[in-house]
Amino acid sequence: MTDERLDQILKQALAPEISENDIRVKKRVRAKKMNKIVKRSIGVAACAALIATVGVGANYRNIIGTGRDNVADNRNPFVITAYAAELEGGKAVPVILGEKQSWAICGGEDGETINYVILTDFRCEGDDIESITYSINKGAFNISEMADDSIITDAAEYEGEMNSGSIGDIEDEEGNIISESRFLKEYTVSYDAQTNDATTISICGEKTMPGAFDIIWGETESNYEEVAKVYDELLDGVEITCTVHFTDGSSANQVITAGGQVMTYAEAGMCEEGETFDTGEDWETKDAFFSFKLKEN
Amino acid sequence: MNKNEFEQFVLDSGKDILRFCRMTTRDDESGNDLYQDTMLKLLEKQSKLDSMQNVRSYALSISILLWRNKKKKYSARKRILPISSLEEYVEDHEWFEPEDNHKTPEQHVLEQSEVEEVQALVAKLPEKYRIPIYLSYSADMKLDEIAECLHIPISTVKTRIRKAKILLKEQLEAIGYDR
Repeated sequence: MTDERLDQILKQALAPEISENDIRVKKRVRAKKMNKIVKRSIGVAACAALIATVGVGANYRNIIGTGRDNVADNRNPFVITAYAAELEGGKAVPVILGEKQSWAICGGEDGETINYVILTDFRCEGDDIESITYSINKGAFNISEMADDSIITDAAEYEGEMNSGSIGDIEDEEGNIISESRFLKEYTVSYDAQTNDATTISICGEKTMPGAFDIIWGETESNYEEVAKVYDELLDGVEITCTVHFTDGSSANQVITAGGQVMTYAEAGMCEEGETFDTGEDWETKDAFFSFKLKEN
Repeated sequence: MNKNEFEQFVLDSGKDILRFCRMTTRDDESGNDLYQDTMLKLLEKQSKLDSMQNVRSYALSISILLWRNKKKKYSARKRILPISSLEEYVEDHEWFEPEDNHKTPEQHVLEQSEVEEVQALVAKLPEKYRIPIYLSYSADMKLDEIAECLHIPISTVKTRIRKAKILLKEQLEAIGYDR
């Protein structure tokens, strides 16, 4: 075989055609400034308990008396944070890409089904809280954690079939499972161990939405309104009920809603007002985000 | 490098990088993921890219690093869906493109099978030979660019490509390719 012939064979085998569409960069950009934002937000969260005692009691809505009394209403308000930012009624906390926050959507083989998975990082702040239970009305929680280091103290399994692009089991080189993944409708964590570095908690689900994938990843750059609408329809009224159990036996809950939201980069916390984001967009650039907010009465 | 320059870079070099990613992972879907991850890493370092003489070499060295770190993840997909029937195979390989109308399905199968045979042989080469071959043929890089990308001297690149070709030639001849 001549060198020229080998060259020809290798070119044919190793240089297939690539379409223009395939080289588009589709994933969202990781936000470099998350550390700064998280640090600032942790400050907000730390202050939240103090603020709550002087009147943010309106934040929580549905006291579940456990027999003793409902006096705990005003004595034990609590605040929920998502990605260290306080959740408030009517004010959306966006899901951008960072250390503890991320999201993914993928299309099914039928071209109409869309699966979503959104990392959550909910925490409760308040006085005299013993444990917290989260339950979801649609879809499921996908919990991925070290097999021997669980933070979940109680749980109800999700009984449906889930095909979402969720986080699966992680195996070591020998095939031993080092991180387990499971789908739950409800889980409980203790107040003092609400999270750890090895645990990820997401909400996930799927919906048949013909044409939605084209809107999300379409060529048009200014379709953020449509994309946010698709996100909203995809989540379709997902509500996460957060119930705190106080040390005195009473409990209280708040409802977190998930949906789509149009925000500027500055509003989303990706950069400060007047600054330019890493990819060149200015702070006023609008985009569609998944977001969480507290349900208002 | 600003946004427009980055977009231009993707247009100019995206195909070479994606082709390299697909060849390296030996699976289109995993290759697409590796390509997207590479571009994301590049975007994170966008502000520093101006001073670099060869962004393409840098991008490909990122791909190689990411692939080494995440080899298991990228290769896992290949075990999930093997081609199970000729019908699926035909669908997957898009027989009905107009420019291919003059070829029969049998010819397509033969050609595709030859391509896959050669790809499999290259994939079995030791990494130090395989990567330079992919960089040369899939990413269309010159010897000096490969040297820059792999941080090795040009003479070493030449030696590795020469040895890779000797090995491939022997194996191809052994399975009946023309001598």
